[in-house]
Amino acid sequence: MVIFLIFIASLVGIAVQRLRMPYTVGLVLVGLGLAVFSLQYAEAITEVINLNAIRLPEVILTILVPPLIFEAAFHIKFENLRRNLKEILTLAIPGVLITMVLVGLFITWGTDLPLEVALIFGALIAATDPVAVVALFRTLKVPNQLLIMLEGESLLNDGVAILIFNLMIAITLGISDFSVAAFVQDFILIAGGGLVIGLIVAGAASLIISQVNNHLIEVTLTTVTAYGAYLVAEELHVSGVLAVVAAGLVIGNLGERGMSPTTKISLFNFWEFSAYLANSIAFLLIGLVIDISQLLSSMQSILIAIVAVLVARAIVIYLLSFRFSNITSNMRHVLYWGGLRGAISLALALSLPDALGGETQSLLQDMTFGVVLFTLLVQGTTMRPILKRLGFSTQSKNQVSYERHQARAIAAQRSHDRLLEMHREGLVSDHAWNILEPAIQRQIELRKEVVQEILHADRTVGDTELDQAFQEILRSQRSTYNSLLSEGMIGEETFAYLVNEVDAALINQDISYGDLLLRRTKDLPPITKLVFASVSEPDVFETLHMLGIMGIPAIRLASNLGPSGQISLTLLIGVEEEQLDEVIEAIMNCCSPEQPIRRGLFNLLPGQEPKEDGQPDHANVYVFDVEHYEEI
Amino acid sequence: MKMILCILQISDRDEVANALNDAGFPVTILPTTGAYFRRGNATMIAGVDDDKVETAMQIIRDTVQEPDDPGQKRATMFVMNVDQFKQV
Repeated sequence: MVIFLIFIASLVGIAVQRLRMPYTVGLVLVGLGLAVFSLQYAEAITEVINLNAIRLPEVILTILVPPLIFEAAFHIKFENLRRNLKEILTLAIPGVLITMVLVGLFITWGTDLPLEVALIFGALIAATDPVAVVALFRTLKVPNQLLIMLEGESLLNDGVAILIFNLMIAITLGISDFSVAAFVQDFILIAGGGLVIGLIVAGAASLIISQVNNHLIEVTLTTVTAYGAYLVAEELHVSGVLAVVAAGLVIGNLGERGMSPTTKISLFNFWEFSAYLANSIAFLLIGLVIDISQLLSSMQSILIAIVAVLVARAIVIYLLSFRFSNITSNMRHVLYWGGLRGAISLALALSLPDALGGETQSLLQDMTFGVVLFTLLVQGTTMRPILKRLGFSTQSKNQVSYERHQARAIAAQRSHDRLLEMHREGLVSDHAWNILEPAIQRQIELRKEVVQEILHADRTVGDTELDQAFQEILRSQRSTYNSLLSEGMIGEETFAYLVNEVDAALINQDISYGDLLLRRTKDLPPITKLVFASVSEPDVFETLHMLGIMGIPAIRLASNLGPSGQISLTLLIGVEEEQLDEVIEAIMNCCSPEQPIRRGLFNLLPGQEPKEDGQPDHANVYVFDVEHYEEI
Repeated sequence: MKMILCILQISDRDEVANALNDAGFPVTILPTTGAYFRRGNATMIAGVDDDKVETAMQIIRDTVQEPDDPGQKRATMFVMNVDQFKQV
C-alpha cells in the first residue's frame, strides 16, 4: 500500500511541475480522483490494500505527524520566532481556541452534529498548513515578517490543535469530564510537558551530534530525535506534537551549530523528502478512505463547514491582530487568505476513533476533505493575484525590461543553433544559410547590446539570474566530485574536503555587507581594514567565490566599461588586520594576468599612479585603515 | 580629513544624502550590490573635516529609517583617514 501511494505521489510531483501548480493542490485533486476511483473499484482495492490498516488512528498520527512538524520547526530560527513571538502566540493559542469554538457553534447550528462532536471538528480544522503559499511568498519576495508569522503560527497551532483535539475526543467519549478549569489545567500540563520532553530529547541529541562528524549518523540521530520525542511524550501522556515542535526548533537552531555544511545539506534534503512523503500519504489516504457518493450527499455540511472556517479565520485574524501595530491591514488580508488547511487536518480526520460511530466519522472526514479542497483550490490558487493587488510583489520596470530582452536574446541564440543544425543536416541549403545566418547573428548582437545597456543602468536586475546560475554551477561541481570519487580519481578524504568547500559556498552564498544589514545576530569580527579591489569582470566570479568560501563578505561597486569593452568591477571588502594578507593573496590568485584592467573610480582616490592603457594588471588593490567601524 | 563610507538600505539613500548635503557635507553615491544574492543597498562616501565626523555620523544615525523587517540592520559606517584631498 505504501509503495502504491509513493508511486502515485511521484506521478503527481511530475504532473504539478509541468502544470506549474502548487504541489498540495495537485495532491488534493488526485486524492479526489482516488475517491472516485475507489468507489468504482472498492472490492478490488480492499483485496489489494488492507483498508482497515489505514484506519488505525495512532499509526496514522505517529507516522505522519512527526516528519511534517519536525521539518517545519527545523527551518524556523529562534531569532525570527522571538521577534514575532507575541503575534505568533496570539494567533496560535487564542486563535485556535476561538476557531474551535466558533466553528463548533456554527456546525452545530447548521447540521445535526452535537456540540461536542462539532468542537472536535473545530479543533482538527483549526490547524493551518500554508505550505502551498509559503513557496509562493518566497518567489514573490513577500516581506520576511509575513512569512515568519504564517509559518510560526502554523507550527504552533498544529501542536495546539492536536492537543485540544485529543482533549475533546476524551471528553466526548466520556474518558474525561468537562470543566473549564480542568480543560485549562490539562492544556497547560500536556502542552508544557510536551515542550519539556522535546527540549530534553533534542538537547541530548544536539550534544551527541556535536561529537559526530558523519552526515549519515547525524541525519539518523535527528530521525531518532523527531520520533523519539513524539513517542516518549505520548507515553508520558503529554503532547507528542509539541515535543516534536520543541525538538525541531532546538535541532534547527542549536544542533546545527555542530554540523558541517555537508551534513546540513543532507539533513535539509532528508527532511524535505520526509515531509513530502508524509504530505503525499495523508492526501492520498484520505482520497482512498473517502466515499465520493457520500461526499456529494454531505455537500451541504461541507459548505457550512467552509463558511464557518472562513468566518472564524476572519475573526481571529482581524480582531486578534488589531493590537499589533506592526501588522498592516494589507498584511492582515494576506494572513487571512493564507490560512490554508492541509495534511495535519487530514491526518487528524483519518485518526478519528471508531467509537464516534461510522457515520459521524465519515461526515467529519468529508467535511475536512471539503474544507481542505476549498482552501487549496480557491485560496491557494488566488493568492498570487491577491499579493500583486496588495502591492506585495512588484518588479521594477528595469527588471521587466531586462527579462524581456534577455529572453529575446536567448531565443535568437537558440534559433541560430537550430538553423546551424538544420544546415549541417542538409535541411537548409547554403543559399538560405548565407542569407539567414548573418541576419540572425545581427539580431543576437543587437539584443545582447540592449541587455548590456540595461545591466549597466541597473546592475541589480541580473541578480536573480546570477543567483540561479551560481547555484547550478555549484551543484554541477558537486556532481563532478561524486563522479570523480566513483571513478576512483580522488579518494574519500579529498572528496570530503572538496564537497565541504562547495557546500560551504552553497550555504554561505549570501554573505555580504548587504546581507549583514539583514542579519542582526551575526557577530562581526573587528573590521580594521577596508580593501578596494578593482577586478576584471571575468575574474569577479572566481574572486567572490573564493572570498565566500573564506567567509569574507564583499560589496560590488558599479562596473566601468573601458575603451576596448573590458568591464571591471570594484569590490569593497572589510577585513580584520590578521586576514588582510590572506585576502589580498586570494584576490591576486583569482585574477588572470591576461585580463587588462581599466581604471575608473580609482582616478578619484589618493596615491594612484596612472598607467598606460594596454598594460595588463592582475588587479588593483587599495587598503585603507579603518579608524572607526559602526553598525546601526 | 576623514572619509565616511556608509552602506545603507537603498530606501534611505536619498534622505540621508539630502540630510548630509543640507548640513554642508557633500556626498558621492555609489550603487552597490552584495556578493551574489543581495541587492537593494547603496554606498555613499563623504569627505569630512576631522572635528565634524561625529556630527556627520549622527546625521546618518538620525536619518535612517527603521527597516521593514525588524531584524535588519539600518546601516554600516567606516571612517578612514584621507592622506590628501584635492578639488579641481
